[in-house]
Amino acid sequence: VTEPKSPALSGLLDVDRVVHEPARLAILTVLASAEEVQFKFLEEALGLTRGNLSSHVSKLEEAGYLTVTKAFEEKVPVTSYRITARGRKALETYRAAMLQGLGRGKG
Amino acid sequence: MGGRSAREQARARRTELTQTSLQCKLTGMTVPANASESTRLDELAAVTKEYATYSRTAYGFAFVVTGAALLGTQTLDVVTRSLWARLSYLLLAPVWLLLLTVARRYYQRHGEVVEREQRVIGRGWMLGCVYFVSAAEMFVLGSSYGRGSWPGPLPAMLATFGIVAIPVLAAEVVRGKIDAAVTLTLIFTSMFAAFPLVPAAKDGEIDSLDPAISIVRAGAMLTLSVFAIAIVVAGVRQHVRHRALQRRLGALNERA
Repeated sequence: VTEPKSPALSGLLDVDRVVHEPARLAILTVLASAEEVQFKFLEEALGLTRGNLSSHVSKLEEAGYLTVTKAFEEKVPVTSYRITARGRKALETYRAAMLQGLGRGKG
Repeated sequence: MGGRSAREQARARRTELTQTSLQCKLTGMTVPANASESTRLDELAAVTKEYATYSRTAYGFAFVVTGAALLGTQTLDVVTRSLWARLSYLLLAPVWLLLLTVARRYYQRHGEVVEREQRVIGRGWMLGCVYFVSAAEMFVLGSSYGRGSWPGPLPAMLATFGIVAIPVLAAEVVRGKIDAAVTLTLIFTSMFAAFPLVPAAKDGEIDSLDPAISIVRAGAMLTLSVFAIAIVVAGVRQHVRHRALQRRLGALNERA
């Protein structure tokens, strides 16, 4: 017989796996704290390799959680990222689920 | 005393807090969790927010240099009462803009991060601008009125446009990205604003004997001084804060 899941546990099990990965969670946290962030700052603050960072950013972009802007500054390519409303919502939902799972939520 | 058994070690690992402050490791978690991960995310957010202020509201040494230059120009104006001293006020606008660009590159050398615009900051800047514009207008009109040297309607109109435009555009530049078009606009408006000042000060004497004019002028000068001192203090504080921020950013990188 399967025991009924508590709402808090259910919330934890249903968390968004795209956000749940620690590196992606950190990327979204940085992006949510600013309007636009360059790749170089993400690399510096998160301590990830370029390849690793690019891979995580691509997954977040595929999920529609961030937008990418590519430009040239003095012939040097510069990539910037912005969190989307969907990404912000996903991050908030994830945080709420985690807090509720720990019994720290409002409800 | 021997080391802990494998079972005890496994139990200790399970009871460590994860990066999401959970008491156990969730399925799908790919990186070993630790108690400080949640704190790290909070610190990451705080560092990013503070670093981002150096794109719109914090300019450190640029504020210090501009404030000091403004105080120096005022002193020169009061002591020499020359036309060149008055014209040098107008040169401060493009110098300020140039310094803002340099400061942004210096303070955000780890990559550009644009600050999220906050309504409180926006209102504060606009209030400051309105006050500064009023003071600047009083300064020019107060020193021109009653001297028989009013330059005429067209230069006066251009002057008013320039004097209003410079600080408002400067505030927009501070709040947003600096681009060449805005910088050029500012330089040209500064040049326009210079025209009526020339006849107003051509005799090398700009003070009026009219007490009302003197009060207006003194008020405007006082406002400029307070503004200059305020941006010097703010700049020093921002510069010191940036050094601490560098250390925090370095610590985050090491922990990662």
